[in-house]
Amino acid sequence: MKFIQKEHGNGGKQTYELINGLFKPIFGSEILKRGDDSSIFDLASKKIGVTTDSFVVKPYFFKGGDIGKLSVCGTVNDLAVSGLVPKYITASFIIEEGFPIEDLQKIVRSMKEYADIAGVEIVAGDTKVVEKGSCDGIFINTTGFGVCEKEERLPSIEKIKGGQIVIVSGDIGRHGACIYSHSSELGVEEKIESDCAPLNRVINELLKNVEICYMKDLTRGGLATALNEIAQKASVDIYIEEDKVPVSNEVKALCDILGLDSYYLACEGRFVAVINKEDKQKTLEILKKYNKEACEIGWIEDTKEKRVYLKTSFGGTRILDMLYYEMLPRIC
Amino acid sequence: MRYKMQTAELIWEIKNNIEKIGRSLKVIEVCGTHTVSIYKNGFHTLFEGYIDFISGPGCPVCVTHEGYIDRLVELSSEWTIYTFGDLLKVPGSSKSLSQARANGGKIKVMYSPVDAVEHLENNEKVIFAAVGFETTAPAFALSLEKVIEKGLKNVKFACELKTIDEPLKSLLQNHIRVDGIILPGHVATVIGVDSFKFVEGFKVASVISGFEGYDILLSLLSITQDILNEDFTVKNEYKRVVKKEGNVIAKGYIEKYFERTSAFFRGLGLIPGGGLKIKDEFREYSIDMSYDNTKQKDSLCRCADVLTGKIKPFECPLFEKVCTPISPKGACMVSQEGSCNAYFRYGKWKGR
Repeated sequence: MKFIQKEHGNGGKQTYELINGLFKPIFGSEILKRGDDSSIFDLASKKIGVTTDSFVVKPYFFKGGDIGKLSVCGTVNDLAVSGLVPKYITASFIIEEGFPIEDLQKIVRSMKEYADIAGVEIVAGDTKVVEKGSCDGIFINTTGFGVCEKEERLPSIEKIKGGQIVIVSGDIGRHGACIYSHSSELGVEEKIESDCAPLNRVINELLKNVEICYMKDLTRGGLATALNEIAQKASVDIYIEEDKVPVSNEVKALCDILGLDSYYLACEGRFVAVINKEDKQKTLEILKKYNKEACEIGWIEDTKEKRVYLKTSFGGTRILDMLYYEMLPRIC
Repeated sequence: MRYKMQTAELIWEIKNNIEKIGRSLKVIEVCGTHTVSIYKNGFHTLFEGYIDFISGPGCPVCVTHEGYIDRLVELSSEWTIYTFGDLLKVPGSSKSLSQARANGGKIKVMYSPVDAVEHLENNEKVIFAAVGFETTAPAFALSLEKVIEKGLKNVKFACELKTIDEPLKSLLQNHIRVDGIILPGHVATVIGVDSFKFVEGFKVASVISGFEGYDILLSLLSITQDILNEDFTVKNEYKRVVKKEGNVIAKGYIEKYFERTSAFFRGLGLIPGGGLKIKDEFREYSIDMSYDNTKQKDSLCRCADVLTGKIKPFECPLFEKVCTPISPKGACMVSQEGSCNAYFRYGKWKGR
């Protein structure tokens, strides 16, 4: 078994071997292979979007994905929910010395696989190696560039108004639950599969066929936090019906055991969309082709409290706030 | 669909009973899990004007004195402290266990003391922070048994275990007048229905309840019917789990290793017989945790008044302004099952 050494990050022979022997052959981009200090490419569009994100997930291999897949999907999804077509990605690695090269290969292959699925090219990168203990295995930063194909189709917070409905693209909380289920301290035997996936194809199909007023992918903080951000930005109230929010039985069970709340669990392959009522049937038709759990979960009201309200199964109503705390296990 | 119909009927029947009674009711729930369930299911808005829900002192974290935390912080420089996660952020007089850990204190979060004992090294110097009611006491008793079996000489228990009966008596006698009590289901699984018979003397409708929303509704129906019938016998609406005599094996473990002692409860003060300590014959496994329970850090925190139903969490001057789950100023905001924390996450409502 070979491991990453400090020399892999010193800019010399071993760095050169790592880049040319591992990264370039796997990523396979002609632009990357040129090895210039900047990658130059065409983006024939009036509007270009850029997003950047860092990934520090632990464990870096989990059921349904790994940090590599996550780093591509996360950035692709940020572009996609902004109404852009993702085109190019850069990838920067911070690796702890002693990291198994075999694991790095797996992660890099996974990035390539999902870049291909999402139709994006990895065109630039960087590698730094830090001393043992300076980082936890591997951290990845990805920056993505996307183009706007139809400006009038761009979702925008200004388009949100009372009477519209809220749709979720699938069951919630899988990624957060997956990471919790991998926590060795908890001893959960059956690992939950993450929902980590690229969303650009489904979103592209939606944008071509219906008007999406606004979209947001569900990441840290989960559904509740995303909805609160929308309510704040759009100055509206959002009402959600508990009975309609799709949560799998395994996620529910884990939440019950650990005292977690599925509304706040991270997703990495789900989004919420605000649409006009008349577009509901067409929107759900498209979404259900990709995920049968996609459904309407609530509606928008113009009451301007900037709150998210949850109508509970029993007919009560409560405020669904932003994530405010670290989820700690229960005492009894 | 049928379930929804049944639920709607239940709610209607509870409200109808309260209309027959002719006034709104004060109902206290003693267990933090009930508190969370009530707010999470929106019962505080569903029964607005009908039922005033009060959260009692049934969360072990919330009733813990800062002196106990101070002792653990002090001991963490020499010993490894094993604690439940909920205790980490409880403010001591100078720092919490979480802050002590950041300053180099040896503190580990455990999920089960029994599992933790399994993985202990022979010479490891360990203190178990034994906090909880009769629900967690059997687990600590079993851990102590395992420690003895394994011949571990450097393992001690910092015993701050509580009992439910004595503080409940004190609460009903000296602090609060309520129409109904939702009794803690978890504790009842261990100590049994009969252990709550003393509540009948207070002429209050009482019911042992499960934790699902539907369980709570059944318990509210039971309370309203008992008030109408003036029937103050303890009811058990958690029959699928709670037996008349409780869990005999678990009770046996408690009796084998622990005996009653006085214990401090935030809001209620020192309660004779309100705690459990390790029996004298096993005292080598106990560590002295004595602290001055008459001393409390000056603070505007009103946890004590919240726990005894004198005020609602939002009436505390610190609530949400400086006291939040991220920077809790009082224990009720620390635990996910504390009244203030549950109210903060699920209970807030328009204008309050």
